[in-house]
Amino acid sequence: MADKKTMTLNLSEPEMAALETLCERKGMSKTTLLRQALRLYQSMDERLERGEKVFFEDPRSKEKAELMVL
Amino acid sequence: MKTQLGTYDLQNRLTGRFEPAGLFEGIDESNLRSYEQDWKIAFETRLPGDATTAERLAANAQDARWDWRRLAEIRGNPLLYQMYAIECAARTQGIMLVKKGGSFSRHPDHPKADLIYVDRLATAPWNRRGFVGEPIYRGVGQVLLSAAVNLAYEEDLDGRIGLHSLSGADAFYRDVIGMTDFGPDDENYGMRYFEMSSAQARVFLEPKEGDGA
Amino acid sequence: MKMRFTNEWLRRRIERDADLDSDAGLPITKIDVLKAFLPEPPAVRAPVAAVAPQVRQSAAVLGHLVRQLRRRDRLELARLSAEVRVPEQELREIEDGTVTALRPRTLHQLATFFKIPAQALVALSPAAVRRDPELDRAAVRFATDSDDISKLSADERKSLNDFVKFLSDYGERGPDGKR
Repeated sequence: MADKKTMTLNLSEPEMAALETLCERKGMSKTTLLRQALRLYQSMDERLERGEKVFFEDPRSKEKAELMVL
Repeated sequence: MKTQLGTYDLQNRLTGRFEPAGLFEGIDESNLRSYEQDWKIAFETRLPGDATTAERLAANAQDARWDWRRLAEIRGNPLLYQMYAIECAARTQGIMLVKKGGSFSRHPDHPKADLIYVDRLATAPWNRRGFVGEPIYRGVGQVLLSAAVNLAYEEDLDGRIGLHSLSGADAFYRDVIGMTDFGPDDENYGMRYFEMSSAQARVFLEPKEGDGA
Repeated sequence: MKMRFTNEWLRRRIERDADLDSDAGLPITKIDVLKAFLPEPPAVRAPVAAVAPQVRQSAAVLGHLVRQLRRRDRLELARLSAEVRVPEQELREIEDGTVTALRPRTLHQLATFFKIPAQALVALSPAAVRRDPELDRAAVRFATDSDDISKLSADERKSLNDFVKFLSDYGERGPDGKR
């Protein structure tokens, strides 16, 4: 795998708590979680750049809710 | 970037002997050429008599959309996809495309856990029972799949992988590899969805009696 | 990558296990899916060779400006083309920096749409008669702050805003170069 680079991240207490909760729930290290989050974000962003919209769909009601777009 | 991960033996069914094959992360022009020339020729000259419905469908324009969408994703997200190849006897014997994020487990052991999704695992047509009467190399799927599980450990995903099996390969994933069969997936042309859970991955990679160190 | 299995382990499996087909996912129908994984060949562009370096640089800066503005406003090229009523191909060439003679109408449409003084764009355009060193410096500063792959970052946004402000002020100047 390619060389890795180190980064320092500054998070607020609530943000850190959210990160730690997610890590515990998913059984992943912080690095892994953030790496997965980055991939997901890039995927979403790429679709948005192409003009697509990102939705969540309730499988039962088939109702769609648009993902918040900043 | 293409790097060699190791050398592993494939069995030549015709001679019964094992031959060394290179396992690579990433592909290059030579793999493309092999795919375009060797594989295509084999596909074209031999129309499989017992080709599966899914494969016949793949010739449809409708299913080309699968590839166009993947293509857009691959180009737009360099971090998301990884390609693997096996080479033996100066030819590409198999390729595998995996997605490293955005896929989540359906397994009751760890619902919604991130996993490595095997988007494609393709063996050269001359190695496939469904294509030729006497397929040549055996073990391509085993090597590639092992590489996928390996990647899942490397990515700190505890060996978890998921895939949709091309029908004809259901028994391989269920019985040979020991994955959980989630049944036909309507969202994916009715192909059966399989997953290897963390527990199954541990068993899968465990050396069995008689294995080398 | 650390390999967690050995050749011996694999050989045992191959010998012991049932011999079955193992393809997953639909067959690849488009060779481009594989091509996307090949290393990129060096960019081959129609040579703007016969053109003076300063003109080439202006074309690049202008192209960069248009592209960053478009990204800031989250517009696809097709959408911008429709908005300013300039052919997509022409906009693409402007963004690529391969246009050496900008059509006055195009320049005007872009200036109006992005709310930048037309004068400033004229001064920036490759066909500008007189080169203004201050503009050149600001332009070069702007042009080097960029990462095409990512979404417009905070730094890029600031760089773009600074340059746009500079251009807006620039437009306020009279022909003698004074405000």
